[in-house]
Amino acid sequence: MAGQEKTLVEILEENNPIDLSKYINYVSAPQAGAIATFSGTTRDTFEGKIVVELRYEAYVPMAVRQIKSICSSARLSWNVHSIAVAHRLGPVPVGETSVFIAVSAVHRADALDACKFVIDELKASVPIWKKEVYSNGEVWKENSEFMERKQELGKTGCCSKKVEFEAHVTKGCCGSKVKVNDEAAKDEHQ
Amino acid sequence: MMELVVDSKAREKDLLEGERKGQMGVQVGYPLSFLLNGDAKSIPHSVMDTIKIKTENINGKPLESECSCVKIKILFFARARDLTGLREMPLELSSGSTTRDCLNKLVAKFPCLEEIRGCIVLALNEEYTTEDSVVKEKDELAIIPPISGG
Repeated sequence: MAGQEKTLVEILEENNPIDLSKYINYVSAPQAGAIATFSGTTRDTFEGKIVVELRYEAYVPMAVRQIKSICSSARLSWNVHSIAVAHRLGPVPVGETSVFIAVSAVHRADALDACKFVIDELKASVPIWKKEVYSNGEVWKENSEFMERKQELGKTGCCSKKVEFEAHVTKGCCGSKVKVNDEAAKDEHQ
Repeated sequence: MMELVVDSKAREKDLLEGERKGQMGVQVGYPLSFLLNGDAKSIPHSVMDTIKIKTENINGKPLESECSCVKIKILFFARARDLTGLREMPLELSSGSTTRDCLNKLVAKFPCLEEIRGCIVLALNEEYTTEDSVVKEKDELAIIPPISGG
């Protein structure tokens, strides 16, 4: 009767647009009253320059592994039902979606917060790169989220990735999440 | 190991001797003497062609080196690939080498990598790692420039 909790991660080969409804359907469940989604799309300008397209590449096996790890971390902090993440490779023209995240949960706070967490973490740690292509040149982009985080990458002492996050205390009957004390976590792992 | 020494002065003498005695010394080339445990011995001509001279190549294979090596695979992405022109390459290092040693070797081979050395991170077997990790045989080391997914 109840839908199974599940996680789907897909890195799509070039020229395969993201089918948003596929992932929304994937996370849908009778007991999940909320589905939160994030869609990252190619903008037409960057710092006044006209963007022709974005081109993506990835260290695919590690990217899949990292995204799954992020989803597991999300489940530690929020009461979510299902998660789906899809990221395109290759050229993504202006207006099209390059990354899509769908999260279902019983209550919207968990779904929304977990969804934000997943995209924030993806931009900080998943080995995917984009090249911004202008009419007169192209440049590899660098996520500020990664630059802030890179000193910490690879330095975890135990098997699970140490992820900095704040979990909000949820109201209602679904249990409350505890705010993680990052300083204590760091000390433990040294 | 026997050390075989060509004694060119002896050659002429032996050749003359050989001719006089009817021996076939000249057929096998220079008569050789050899040092066995430091004592000079002369090799009978008839034995010469049966001696297998052992040098550094034993059965055509080079002598095994004293230090054991590990062979790993390097992956280059994005800007790193642009700079080196390669998606991947094998790398051989001495056993016990760290990822830092790998990086040093790569920068020595591709000086242009120095430009991004300060902003890359490394991943060993699909997990982020520091420069202190020790690499082992068949490891996969990825050079990861600043990411920009999403």
